[in-house]
Amino acid sequence: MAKDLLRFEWRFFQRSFGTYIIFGGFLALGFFAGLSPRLSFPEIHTNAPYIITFTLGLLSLTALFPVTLFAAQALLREQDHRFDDLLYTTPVKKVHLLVGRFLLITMLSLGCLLLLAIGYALGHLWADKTTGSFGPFSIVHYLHAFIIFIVPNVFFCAAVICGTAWLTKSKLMIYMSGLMVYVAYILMSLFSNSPLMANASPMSAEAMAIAALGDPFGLSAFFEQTRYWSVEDRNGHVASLTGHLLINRLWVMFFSAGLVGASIRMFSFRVKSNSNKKQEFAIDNAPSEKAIEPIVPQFKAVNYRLKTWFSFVCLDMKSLRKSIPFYMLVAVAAFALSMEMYANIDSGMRIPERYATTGLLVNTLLESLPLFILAAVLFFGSEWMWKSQSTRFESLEKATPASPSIFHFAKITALVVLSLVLVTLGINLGVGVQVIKGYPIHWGLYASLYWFVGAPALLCAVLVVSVHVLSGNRYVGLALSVVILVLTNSAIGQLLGLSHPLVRFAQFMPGVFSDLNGFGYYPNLFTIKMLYSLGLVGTLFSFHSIFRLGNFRKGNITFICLWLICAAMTGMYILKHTKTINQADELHWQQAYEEKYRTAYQGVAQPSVTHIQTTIDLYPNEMTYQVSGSYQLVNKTDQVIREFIVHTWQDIQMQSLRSSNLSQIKMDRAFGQYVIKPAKPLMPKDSFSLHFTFRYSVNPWNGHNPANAIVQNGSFIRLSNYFPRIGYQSELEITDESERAKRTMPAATSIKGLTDAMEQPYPYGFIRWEALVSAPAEQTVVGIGELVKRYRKNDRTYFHFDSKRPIPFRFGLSSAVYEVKKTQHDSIAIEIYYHPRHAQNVTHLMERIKQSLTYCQKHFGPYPFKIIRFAEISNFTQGFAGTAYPATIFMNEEIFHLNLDGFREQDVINQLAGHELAHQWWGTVQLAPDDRQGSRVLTETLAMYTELMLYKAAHGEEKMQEMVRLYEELYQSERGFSEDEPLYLAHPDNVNVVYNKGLLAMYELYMLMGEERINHALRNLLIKHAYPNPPPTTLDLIRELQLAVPLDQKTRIDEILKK
Amino acid sequence: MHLNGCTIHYCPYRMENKLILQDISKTYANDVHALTGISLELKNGMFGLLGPNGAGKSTLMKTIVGLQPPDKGTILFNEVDILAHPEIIKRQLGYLPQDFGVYPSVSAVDLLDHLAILKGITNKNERKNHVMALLDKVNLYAHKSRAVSAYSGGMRQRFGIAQALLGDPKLIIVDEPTAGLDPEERHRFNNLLSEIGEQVIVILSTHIVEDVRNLCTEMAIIQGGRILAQGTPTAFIEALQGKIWSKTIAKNELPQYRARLSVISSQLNAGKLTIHVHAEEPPGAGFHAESVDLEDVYFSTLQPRMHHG
Repeated sequence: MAKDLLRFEWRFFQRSFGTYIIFGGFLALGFFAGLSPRLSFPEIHTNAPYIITFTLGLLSLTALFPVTLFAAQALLREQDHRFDDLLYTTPVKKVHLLVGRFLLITMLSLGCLLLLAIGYALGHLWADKTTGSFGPFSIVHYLHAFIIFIVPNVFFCAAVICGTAWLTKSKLMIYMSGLMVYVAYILMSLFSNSPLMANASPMSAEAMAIAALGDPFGLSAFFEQTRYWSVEDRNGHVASLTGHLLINRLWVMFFSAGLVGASIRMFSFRVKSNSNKKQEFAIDNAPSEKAIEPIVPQFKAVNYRLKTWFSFVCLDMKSLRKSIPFYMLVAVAAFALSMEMYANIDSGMRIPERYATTGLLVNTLLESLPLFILAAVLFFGSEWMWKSQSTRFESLEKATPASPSIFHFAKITALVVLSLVLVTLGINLGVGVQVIKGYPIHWGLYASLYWFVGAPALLCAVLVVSVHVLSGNRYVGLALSVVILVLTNSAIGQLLGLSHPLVRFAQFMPGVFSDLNGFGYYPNLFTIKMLYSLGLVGTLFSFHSIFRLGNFRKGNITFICLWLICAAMTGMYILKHTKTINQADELHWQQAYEEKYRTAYQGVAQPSVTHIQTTIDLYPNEMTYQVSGSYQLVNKTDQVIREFIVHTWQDIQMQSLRSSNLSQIKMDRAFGQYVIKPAKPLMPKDSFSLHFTFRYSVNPWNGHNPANAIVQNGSFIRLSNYFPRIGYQSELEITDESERAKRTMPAATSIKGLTDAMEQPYPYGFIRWEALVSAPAEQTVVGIGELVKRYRKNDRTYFHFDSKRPIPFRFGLSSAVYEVKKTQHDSIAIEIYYHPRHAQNVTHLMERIKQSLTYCQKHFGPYPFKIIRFAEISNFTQGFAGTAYPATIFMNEEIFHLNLDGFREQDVINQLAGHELAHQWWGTVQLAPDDRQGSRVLTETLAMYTELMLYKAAHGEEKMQEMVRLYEELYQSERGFSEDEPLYLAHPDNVNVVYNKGLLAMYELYMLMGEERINHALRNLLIKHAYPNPPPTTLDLIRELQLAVPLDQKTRIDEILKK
Repeated sequence: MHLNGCTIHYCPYRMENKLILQDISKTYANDVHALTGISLELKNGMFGLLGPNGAGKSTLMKTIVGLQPPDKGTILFNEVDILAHPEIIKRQLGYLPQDFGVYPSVSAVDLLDHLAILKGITNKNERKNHVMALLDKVNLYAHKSRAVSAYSGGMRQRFGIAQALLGDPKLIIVDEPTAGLDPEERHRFNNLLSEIGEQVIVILSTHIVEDVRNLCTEMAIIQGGRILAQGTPTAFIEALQGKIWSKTIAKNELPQYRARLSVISSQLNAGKLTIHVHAEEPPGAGFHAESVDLEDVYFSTLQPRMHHG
C-alpha cells in the first residue's frame, strides 16, 4: 500500500514541468560552481578534498529550497483542493501515507543535491586547468562529502519541514520553517567563525567545540576538525568521521528520525476547522421598508483615480495587520538587524568596540536592509497582485470602471509603503542602540536612508508589478521576478559575473559612509543609476499598456519613448565612464612590458634620484591633484650611462617630461615609458635634472584607488607610488607561475637569496624631499619630514615640507579638515591631527605616543626627526589600520575612533601606535633592508616585538601572555592556507610568518634571554647597520642576538629563528 | 404603489433603457462553442434567462459585463457600443456573479465602501450613508463590522446583491443568485429584485424555473450556446395549452413510452413514475390533459423535437 501511495505522489511531480526545471537548475548550479571556483586559497588545489567538502557542505543548504517547495505541494495537497474530506474518511493508514510522502520528498531533494554534486564534479573536469592548480580527480572526494554532509543535511531539512507541516497543517508555516532554518543557519555561522563570515577574531577551542557539536549542517564540525591542517592535509585528506563530526552526524540523523516519528504520531486525520467560524445567523428582523436612494456616480478623472488608488492602497495596508508573514518578516528583520548592529559594534575579540556612531549603524542598515526589502517586495508583490484573483473577488472588482493601471499604481504604492515601514523599523533599532550606547544621533543621516533604500525599493516594486502583469500568472510572475532580482540586484548575480553597472538593476546604496568623508562621490553615482533603472523599468511598465492592451494612444507612445530616452541617455553616460578591466588584456600588457624592457634595462647602470623638489596642488572637491616636480639625478655608478628609462604610471595623466640639458626623450605611450638619452653621456658622479608635470583624477565610476584617495575630506595619497621611477620596474611582471608557463615566459624576477652578495657600497637610493603642497583653505595638509613654512594665499593654504635629511623614496600626505593637538616631549614635537568629532581617544593616544617615544629612545637610539605626527584618514582608504612614513604615521578612522572604555586591555590604539612608531627605527630612515629573503623580519617582526614590549609595560606580564596566545591562535589557523617557512628565510609577502610567527619567535627569545639583552642586541644592530651603513640581513640579527647571550643559549637562538 | 408589501421609490422621470445583443458568438480554445449567434433585445424589467448547467448563461453574462470579449457580434446599450467601450457599461452596471469570493478579514462595511469608491461614489458622506442604507436593506446591518469572509452562504449572497445595487445601476445582472439559499432567503431575495426591476433592466440567469415564472416579464431559453426560444412566460404557456398530457406508469415501462412519444419529463414518486408527454392529440389510454406549467414549457423546449408518428 505504501508503495502505491508513493507512486501516486510521484506522479504529481513527474507530470509537473517545474520539477524538471528544478532538477536542471541544480545540475547547472553545481556545474558553474565547479567551473568557476570562487573559493580559493593559495597553495590549495581548486579540487582539493577540503574545498570540495567545504563547497558541497555549504551548498547543501540549498536543499531547503526543493524540500520546502515539494513539501508545500505534497503535504497539503488534499487540504488545498478540499479533498481531505474524502481522503481522511478512507481506511488509509497514517503511517503509510505520511512516511511515503516523507521518503518521496527526501528522495527528490537528494536527487537535486546529487545532480548538484555531479554537476560540480563535471565542472571540475571541464574547468580550465591552467587557472589555478588542480590535484588528481578522485570521485571518492565527492562521494565522501555527499554521504557525510549532504545526505544527513537533506534528511534534517526534510524532517524539520515535514514535521512543521504535519504539526501545523499550514502552508505558510512550511515556508516559514524553511526560512527559519536558513536564517538560524546564517546566524550560527556569524558566531561560529566559518571562513565565510569575515570575522576578525579566532574562536576559542571551547566555543568551537560547542559549535561543532551544535551545527546541524556539520560544517562547524568540519572546520573544527580541519582547523590546524596543513596545506598537504587539505589537498590530500578527506575529513574523517570521528570525534565531534561523528557525534554531530549521528545526532542529526537520530533527531531527524525522531522528529518525523513524533510529528507523524501527532498528526490526525482531522479536517482543519476554520478559525473564522462561519456563523449562521437566523434571519432576525423584517427587511427594511426604506427605499434605497440611488446615487449618481462621479467619474471626474483626477478625483476618481485618486480615491480609487487610495482605497486599494488602504485595503492592502490594512491586510498587513492580520498578516502572519508580515509579523514574521518584521520579527526576523528586527532580530537580524539588531544582531548585525551589535556584531559591527563588537567587531570580534581582537579589537575593542567601535563607537555606536550613526554612520556605523546606517552602514549596517544599508548592507542588511536590502535583503528584507527584496523579500518583502517579492512576497507581498505576488500576494497583493493576485489577491483579487485568488480570493475570487476579481469578478466584482473588474465589473467596476476602475482601470487596471490605477490598480497597478496602488500595488506599487503599497509595496513602497511597506518598504518604508521596514526602513523605519531599522531606524528605530539604530536609534535605540545609539541611545543605549550613549552616542549622539545624526538624524539627517538616518533620514537619508529613505532615499538610499526607498528609491531602489520603489524601482523593485515597479519591476515586480510589471513582471506579474506581463506574465499573467502568479507563479510564473513570482519565479521570474525572483530570478531577475537575484541576478541583477544581489551578490549572487555578481558572483556569476554580472557586475557591470549596466546589468545591475536598482542597486542599493552600499554602506560606505565615512565620518570624515560622508558618502563621498557615491550619491551622484547612485542617482544616475536610479535614473537608468527608472528608464528601464518605466519602459517595461508601459510595455503592458501598449502591446498587451493594444492601446496605441499617443499619450502612451510618448511615455514609452520618454522612458527609453531616459534609459538610453543614462546608460550611455554610464557606459562611457565605466572602464571594464579585462583580466586578459592586463596580463597581455604586463607580458609585453617585460618582453620589451627587461633584458635591455634590468641590472643596467642607471642614475639615482638624490633630490626631489615638487609642487602639489590638491583639489579635493574635484577629486583631482596636480603635480609639478623636478628630480636631481646623479650617476652614482662607476660606469658611463648613455641612456636610461623613466617609468610613469598608467593611472596618472602625464602632462610633460623634459630635461634641463639637451637630451633626446622618446616616449612609449603604451607603457608610460620614457627613454632618455642625455646629450652628453653621464660620467660617474655627473648629475642630470628632469622636470615633469602630471595630474591625477578619480573617476568615481571605476571606484577609487585606496592608496590614491583624493576625496572631499580625509584624502590620503601614497605619492611615492605615483611619481616617475627610474629603470625597469620588476614589480610589473606577471607573478603567477602557471600564467607565465602558459605564455612560455622565463622565470620572474625573484628576491635575492639570504646569502647572496650585497653591493658595496650599498646603493640606498635615499633622497632629499621638498614639497610645496596647497589645499583649500579650510583643510590642513599633513606631509612628511619637517614643516618649514605655512602661509595662506588666495583662499588656499600652502605647506612647505622638507625632509631635511635623506629618506627612502617613500613619501605621502593626507589632507582634511583637521583639529590638532600638539605637545612637546623630550624636545620632540608631537602632533595629532584628527576629525573634529573624533576627539575621544586623542588624549590617550598622546600619552601612549609619549611612552613609546621614551621607550624607543631609551632602548634603541635617538628618534631621527624633531617632530612626530599622527594623522587620521577616512575609511575611503582601505587595506591597513596604520602606515608609517618618515616622521608621520597615518591611521585609518576605523581604528582611530574605537571605543576604548572598559576595554583598555585590547588597546589596539596603543598597539598600533607603538608598532608604527617603532617603524621609525625598524624601517623608514634608520633600518632599511634590501629586497631579500627574511628582510621583512627586520622591519615588521622587530616592530611586533617593540609593540609587545610596550604592551607589557602598559598592562603587565599576564596581559602580554594573553596577547601572545592570541597570536598563537592566529598563526596556527592561518598556517593551513599558505606556505610555512623558517622565519629567517621568510619571503617578504608571507604575512603569517613575518607578523604572527615572528611575534611568537620574539616571545620565545624574550623568555630565553630577557628584554634587556634583546634590546641591547637591537641597539647594536642599529649602530652597525642603520643608514648610511650597509643594511642588515637576518643573519646579522641572529649574530647580534648571539653576541648578547652566554654560550649555552647561542644555539637556542639559532633554533628559534631558523625553524 | 405597492408590490409584495414593499414600497417602490416613485421616480417622476422614467428612463427607458435598451440592451441589444446582435449575433454574439464565443468559442473557447479547445473548440468548445460556448455561445453561437445570440441575439436579444431587452428593455426595462426583469428578463429571465433559463437554461441547464453548461448552457452558456454565465458566459453570456460575463460577455455583457465586459469580463470576456466575444469573438463575434455587437452589444449596444442605449445605443452605445459597449464592446468597444466597456467602461461605459461598467459605470452603469450592477453585477452579481455566480460564484465570487472576498478578501479575507475585511468587514462588510469596508469592502462595500471599497466597491462604492470603485463605482464612482467619491463623496465620503454620501457614500457612508448609501453603504449603510444598502446593508440595512439586505439585512446585514447588524453584522456590518464582521468579516465578509466569515459570513454564511446566504449572508454572502446578500452582500453580493448589496454591492450590485451600489450607485445608480441601469443594468443589473444576477447570475444564479439563489443557488444554495434556503427557501426563506430565496423568497426575500426575489422580493428585493422585483422591487428594483421596474426602472432598470434586470437579467436573471437561472436554472430555477419557478423564479422565472414568479418574477420575469420576459424570458429566453438557452441551451448549448444557442437561444432556443424567447418571449413572455404567459405567451409560452398559452402556446402549449392543451398539448401536455400526463400518465402514471411503471418504472420499467419508461423506455417503451420514450421510444413512441415525446416524453418531456418523468418524476418518480413512491415507486411510481409520472410522465409528462408533449403531443398535439391525446397520446393514448391513461393520459389526461395537464394544465401547462412553465416547467413543461422548459422541458419541451429542451427536448429535441420528436418526429410525429
